[in-house]
Parts: sequence; C-alpha cells; structure tokens
Amino acid sequence: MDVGYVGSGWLATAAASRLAGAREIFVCGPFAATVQGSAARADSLTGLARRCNVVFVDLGSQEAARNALFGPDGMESSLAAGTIVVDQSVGDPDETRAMAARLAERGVVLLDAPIHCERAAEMPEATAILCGGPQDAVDAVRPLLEIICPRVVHCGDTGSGHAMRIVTGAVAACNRLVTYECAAIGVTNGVALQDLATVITQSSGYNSATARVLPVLGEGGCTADVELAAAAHELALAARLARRTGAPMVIANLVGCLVESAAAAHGKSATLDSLARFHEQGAGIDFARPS
Amino acid sequence: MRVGYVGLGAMGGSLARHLVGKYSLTVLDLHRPAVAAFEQLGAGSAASPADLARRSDLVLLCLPRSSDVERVIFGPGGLAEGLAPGAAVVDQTSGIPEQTRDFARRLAECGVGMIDAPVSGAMATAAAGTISIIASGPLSTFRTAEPVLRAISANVFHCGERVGNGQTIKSINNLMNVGCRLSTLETVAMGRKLGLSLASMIEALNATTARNYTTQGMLPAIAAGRQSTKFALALQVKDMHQAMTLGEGKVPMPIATASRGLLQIALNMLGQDAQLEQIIGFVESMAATRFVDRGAPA
Repeated sequence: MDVGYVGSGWLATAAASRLAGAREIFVCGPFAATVQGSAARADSLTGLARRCNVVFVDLGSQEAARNALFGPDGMESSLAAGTIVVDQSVGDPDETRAMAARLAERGVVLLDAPIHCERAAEMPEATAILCGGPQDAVDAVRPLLEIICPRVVHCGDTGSGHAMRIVTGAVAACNRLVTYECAAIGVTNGVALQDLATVITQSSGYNSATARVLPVLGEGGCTADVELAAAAHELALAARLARRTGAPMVIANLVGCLVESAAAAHGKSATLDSLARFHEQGAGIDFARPS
Repeated sequence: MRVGYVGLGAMGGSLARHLVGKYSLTVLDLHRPAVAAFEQLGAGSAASPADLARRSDLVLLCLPRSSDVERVIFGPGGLAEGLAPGAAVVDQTSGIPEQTRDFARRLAECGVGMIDAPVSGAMATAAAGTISIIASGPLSTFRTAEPVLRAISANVFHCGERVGNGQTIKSINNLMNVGCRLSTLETVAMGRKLGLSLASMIEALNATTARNYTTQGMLPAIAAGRQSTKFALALQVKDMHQAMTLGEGKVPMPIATASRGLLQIALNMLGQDAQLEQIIGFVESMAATRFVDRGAPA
C-alpha cells in the first residue's frame, strides 16, 4: 500500500509526520518541507495520485481539498479505481457527500476523517479521528489512522465524520469560553486561579478547559495551536448547519460570534490562547496580575 | 470537641449525619421531626441558637440563604449570645460572599472565628462522604474545623484565607456547570439532526477537548435511560441568579446571560415544580429532535 499526504498547516504536518515516522509516505503541498520522517516529496498532485492508493488530504479547508481533487491539475483523473481518499480537513457534510459521489463514479472512495486536536504537542492525548464512510474502507485504512491517533471513532456513513468534527469543535469552544468568562468572574472577586482550577476540575463545573487552560492561565501558558480564524470558520459552519437543520444552538452560536470578534481583534495568526487577552480586555483585568 | 449543627434540611441533614457518633453533637432545626431523627441517633438538641452555641466549640450552619444565617447568628437568642471567645463558626450555606465576610468581621469582634465551607455535588455524594467541601477563611480557624469537615467528606479544599472565597467558587462552579450543560445538550441535539447517534457522540466528545461533566455524566445517563440529576430547576435558576451578581458591573457575561435566559424559559414553560432533569426534554423540544429514538439503541 502506497500512501500519500497532501497538506498544509500545523495539524497536517503533525499527522503526516506521525505517519512518516512509522512508514514511508509521499507528500505534496505547502507543508512538504516541514514533514518529519520518511517523507518523499512528490513532484505534483497528479504524480502523487498516480503512485498512491491511499491519499490523505488536509489543506486547511474543504474548498482547498475540493480544488486539489477536482480543480485544474487536480488529482481526480489520476486516481486509480480502488483508491481511498481520506479528507482530514474540516468540512460541510453535504459537500463531503457530493465530493464522495463524484469520486465514486471513478471507483474511488472518499472517507471524511478530520482530526479533533487543539495542540500538536499533546497528540495523541485529547485527540481523536472522527471518521465517516463505508465500513470496509474504514477498516482498510484504520491501521494508518491509528498511527496518526490511536483513538479512531467511526461515526457512520460518509459525511458523519465531518458532522462529528463540527459537534466536538463547538462543544470544545463552549468549554473554553465558559472557562474564560468564569475565570474573569473569579479574578474580579479575589479568587486565585489555581484554587478555581483545583476545585472546579474535581466538581460539577469540570470541563477540558478547567483541566488544561485554567491551571496555566495566570502564566500565559500555551494550550492551543488552533488559529482563531480557523476556529471562527468552524463555528460559522456550525451556525450554517444549525440553520439548515433547524437547531437553535443559542450558546454555541454566541460563542461563534465571540470567537469571530476575537479573531478580528487579534489577527489571523493568533491562536485560541489569545482568547484570554480578549477576556482580559473585556473585563479590564490581567489574569497574570489579579488585583 | 463539642460540635453544633444548625439546619437539618436535605443537604444539611446529610452532612450532619456524618458527625453522629464521632463528636458530641447538638442539632437545631425549625422542623421538629428532623431534630427528632437526630435525637434517636444519639445527638442532643438545643432550644435556641444561643443554647446550641453554649454547648458547642464549633458550630456549623447549612441554611437556605445568607439572610437566614444572619438571623441565626445575630438575631434575638442567636449564636452570638452563646458563643465563647475562641469558638468557631462554619457556614456551609450557599450564601453571598460579601455578606458572609461581614458576618465574620462582626464575629471576630467577639473573639469568634468564622470560615465558609459550602458544598458542591449531588445529594448522593453528600451521603457517601465524597461531596466537595470548598472552604475559605483564616487558616487557624480552618485547621480547627478541618477534622470535622473531613469527617463529613474526604474532599475538602481550603481556598485562601479570605472568607467567602469558597462561596464564590461554588457559584462559579454553578455557572460553569450550567453553561457547559446547556451548550453540550443543544449541540448534541444538532448532531442528532445531522444523523449522528448519541452513542458515537458520547465516544467522540469524551475522547477530545469537548469533554465535560455533562458528556461524562448526563449524556451516558440519557443513553442508558437513567436519571442523572435530582435537583429542582427553580433552585438552579436561583443559584444562577446569585452567581451572576458576582460579575454584574464588572465582567461581561454573555454565556451566563444566555444560559440563564434558557433556564428561565424552561422554568416558565415547565412550571415551578420542574426538575433539572426535565431540561433534557426541553432541549429536545427546542430542537425538535430526540436524543434517543424510541425503540432504537442510543
């Protein structure tokens, strides 16, 4: 089985590096020079498509993945029947199903298998691959997926991996923003962040951010590689899916608006950790120097 | 050490029960049958707060609100009339931190120490002796009370020497719990409308940074068809209102505000007798979906 990875960005780099640390792979795309391990650079998308029967794609957006597959000089016509394409970007399940249907006409299977991960250094902790697609195709690539991350959740048919990634992303964002908001309340009322973290992590207010973010909030610790702009993009997709399905999503959509505001205020390269500064500014406080 | 306990309601009674047989215990409550139950277990009873104070070196209170605490301590026949210098008061009420600090200051003038030590957790954890006790106040007073608190629960936290911090943290814990609970339920409802099974969402959420108390507790309970909470919705709304006073005029609270609004809508629609557990059906109705299809696996 020859494996290729077309990617860009920190998460694709981390995923491809884990694969290349365990076996030889072919890489193509903006991230090619940063992948660690046994990664051979393919000269083009079509060249990679011709020599691989499993092709991973994560170019940062579904639109970029679509372009890599179906755009000018895209892989579509070079993929042999029986090839499995694994889309690890975040995407709209309806679009995923449309892409899968188009590839199926050529005998190519598309799996959606996005990764939920906030920080590459923490992989595989708090990380999962959320997979959608036919069982036999999932079974065929599962050993590869498990190299990237041991936790692989088969969520259902094609598109369900992308749907699940939106669900986990929205709940994780809510965890984080609830925590910042409550930390600001604590600080303005004279409570030490460490006390807040210790107690709440062992109480009914527990969430991943009380365990990961709160203990290092005062010292400005790094807890995320995810860019604010990417998170805002994901949450905007969640809002569209909510409208499409008739789900209210009151709090999650509010969180999406807050993240969008923070992204506009702090710039495209800012990560989720800059949400701390966003909340400090909103409350006129400094988490590092509580009054 | 002679210990007194005032307030034998559902929570106070569960907490005080751990002290029976371990300390010389005197109890007080307006509800006579609650006192009688403790007398049968061997505890003594008092005629008034002042009477209880005279028989106690350490007095714990668990009352509905801070105004009740003030009345019991400083009202006619109150604890303050009977407490000897060197005695200590532990307030386990889910009270208002600023008021509790004022009570501590007034008691200190009489040579009486005070800490707050509210609890966080379900009634079952109170009975099991594992409920979180979130104490704060002068370390010397905490050290005096600590053995008694540890007789009530193994999970005792001391959160600084400033009285009221425990009550503040408890309120913030409530805000965290409600915000995460509602955002999780509404997002899982959307997931259901996208065709995802509850079982797969539970697995994915708990494997990632989406995990929280609701993904670990309430969602699996829904999937298994069992109850996960036993708490009045009206009390949850009351706690939410009290918690939000901590941030008013100081901190923007968009998520707490939206969460409170949703809880208020639920209470108005379901009625004053509604239980927190009914929030599950409320979110299902809001989204026009069900977390588990009737007759189908989760």
